[in-house]
Amino acid sequence: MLEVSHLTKSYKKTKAVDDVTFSAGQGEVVVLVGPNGAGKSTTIKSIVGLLRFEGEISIGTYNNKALKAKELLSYVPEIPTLFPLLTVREHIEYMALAYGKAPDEEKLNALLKRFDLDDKVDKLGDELSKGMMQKVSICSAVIVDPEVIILDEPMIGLDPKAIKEIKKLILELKEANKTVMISTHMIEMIEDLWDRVIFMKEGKVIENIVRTEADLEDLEELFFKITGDSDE
Amino acid sequence: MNKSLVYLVRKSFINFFKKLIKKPLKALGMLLLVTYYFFIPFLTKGVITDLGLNTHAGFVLIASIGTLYLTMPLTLTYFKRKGVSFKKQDINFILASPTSPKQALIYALSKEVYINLAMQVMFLMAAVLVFTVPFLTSIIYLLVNIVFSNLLSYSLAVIMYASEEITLKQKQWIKRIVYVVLAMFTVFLMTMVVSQTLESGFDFAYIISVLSSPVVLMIPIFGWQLGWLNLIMLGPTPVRLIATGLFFASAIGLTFYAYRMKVSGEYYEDALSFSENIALLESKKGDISLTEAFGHKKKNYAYKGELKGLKSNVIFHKQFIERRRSKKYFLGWSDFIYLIAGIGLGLTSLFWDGFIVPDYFLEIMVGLSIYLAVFFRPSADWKSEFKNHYLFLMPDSPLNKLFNASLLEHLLTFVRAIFLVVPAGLLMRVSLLEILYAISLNVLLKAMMTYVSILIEAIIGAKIGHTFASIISMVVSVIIMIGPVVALFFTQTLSTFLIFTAISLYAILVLFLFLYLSSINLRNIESLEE
Repeated sequence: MLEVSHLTKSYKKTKAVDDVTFSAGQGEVVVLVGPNGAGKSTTIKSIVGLLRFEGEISIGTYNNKALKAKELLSYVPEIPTLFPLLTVREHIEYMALAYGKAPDEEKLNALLKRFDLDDKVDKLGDELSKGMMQKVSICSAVIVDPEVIILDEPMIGLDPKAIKEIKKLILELKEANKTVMISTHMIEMIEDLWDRVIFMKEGKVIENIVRTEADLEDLEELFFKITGDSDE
Repeated sequence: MNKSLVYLVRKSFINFFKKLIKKPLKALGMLLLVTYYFFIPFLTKGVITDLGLNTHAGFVLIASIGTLYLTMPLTLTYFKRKGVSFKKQDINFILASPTSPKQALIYALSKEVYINLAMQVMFLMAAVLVFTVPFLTSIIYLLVNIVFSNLLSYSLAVIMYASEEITLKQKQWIKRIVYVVLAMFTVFLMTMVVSQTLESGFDFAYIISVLSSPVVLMIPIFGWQLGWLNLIMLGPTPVRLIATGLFFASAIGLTFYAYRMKVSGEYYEDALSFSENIALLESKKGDISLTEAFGHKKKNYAYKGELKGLKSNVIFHKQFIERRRSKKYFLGWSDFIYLIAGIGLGLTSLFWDGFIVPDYFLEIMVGLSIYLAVFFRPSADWKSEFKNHYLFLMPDSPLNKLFNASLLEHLLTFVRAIFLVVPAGLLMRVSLLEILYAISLNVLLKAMMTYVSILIEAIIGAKIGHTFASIISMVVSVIIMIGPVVALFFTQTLSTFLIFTAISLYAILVLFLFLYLSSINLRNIESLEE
């Protein structure tokens, strides 16, 4: 569903991402992990179509920059930022319209309730806390029923209940045969979610492990073993 | 236009007014600002009439300057791929979604549409009421101008940002060529005006004739735009007709090209980088300059220093160390300019007989100080203290905190006063006592203005909006300064000592009043939050 082939992205003379290749199939939860500056965010922004890059990225059968590809993909950014003059409900309705869909009121209300936003529907974007903004971003990405969903550090700033809900949501998306890609530092949070884990370091993929093919090891230990970073 | 973008604009527009209703003070402030804005033509009517510019030709001059120095800089930013305001929310909700890249760009450009329309309405009012241009002529000029100049500027923005047929390198070259043409134009204009002024004195009619000359009207895009203005206001000539034709043709041609060209969103990276710079600028709230936010690193100097002082006095020492690290010689250009001004004033009085009379030394020095205190307010260190939570956590009285946060500012005012007053006084050969009076009054009046600013701009500004607050602050400053200005008029008739004492007492009284009012309002971080 998502194919990244020989992705290279340079800023002036620095290579932020160097010849990265991987793929994610339908119903697969792919986790991108790596230390700071490993190139995770650059890879994600390239997939979403926000950066110029060398190489090929396709979503479904389309090049990632095509509008058809974007209709299949939704994205939760690392730092949530909302329109200051749209309410919580309007953000989610806006997103549905942007994907050419009429807002599904029943689904929208269920999402608001699930993420404890039902009493804040009329709050404006600039009246919300960071955690609330993150929840609105997640709801906006889910309402469009995407084939591929990309979550960049989705659990930062969320309360324990919301973290539990988002984990549940990821598993539901997987059940519905959607492709989920998560970039995170919080390895312990995705321990029971991943199907494929891609370790990145210094802009390169250093390991691409499929859960079914690997000896089930603790992901955190695996991280330190592979990246060569000690937690001592 | 995409349904979602229409929804976004419509809802934001409605919510803007709903939000304003909830904040009546801010609404009142905005209303006064808008009223003031539309009054500008009436406020300038007297000056324009006195200068003999209240004619069609005068309107051509003002509108040409407006086009060249207000519209053109904005259009030039498109050539640098920087003028379109993208924010982080635009990136996350618009560019990352299946919205056409061209429509996303037009949406971002349309954020300026209200300001642009307000400016055009003001121009319409000015044309009819100040420059006596018939209403029909004015409305035809403005409607045609709104349509074609916007088509031209939007299509240029779309092409320079989004065209993937023109390479980045080619865009760089286009940008350079535009700059060279405009530099040549500026040199031409300056040379003509300066040489004419030296030859037969300054005359607005000559500037109008230069701005309406074929050399100017034939400058691609910017000159052509002036062709239409000249044609409708001053009547047809072959050059004006050709320039107008080229203006319409270029607007239509470029719009057609922009409409037809293929765009996949290569410009998104520039938009993303712009939004990150803007976010940085907003998060630092005045602690970072525009150029620093856009990638130019601020130079810092090695200085170890040692924090001294207890409780809120530590604020002063912290500011001192920060200044040592940001300014190589502790003082900067903005301080040395006072020294240059002081020497300049002294030399003028020495070599230009009768231009500056030393008898009026105190009046000149204090008058200058009043003028600078009211109209020039460089960014002060106390402003950044108010953004820190520790200011409120510190176990000290608000009065002490305010005083210590502004102490460095007072010391700098003292240094600047010495720079200005001492050389001027020595060269004018005034008494030492007069020099001391002038320095003291400079410091006291500036300190008084500092606390006026703190109360109105920082504390009241948090409630009513900072733009409105700075206007109020300016008005209050002018009112407060009436006393010292009136007193200065009596310096020659009454004794200098009496006037010095009167102004000093007045300044100390107002200073403590505003310091006290600021301190009782500075209870917690909420007093500074909008």
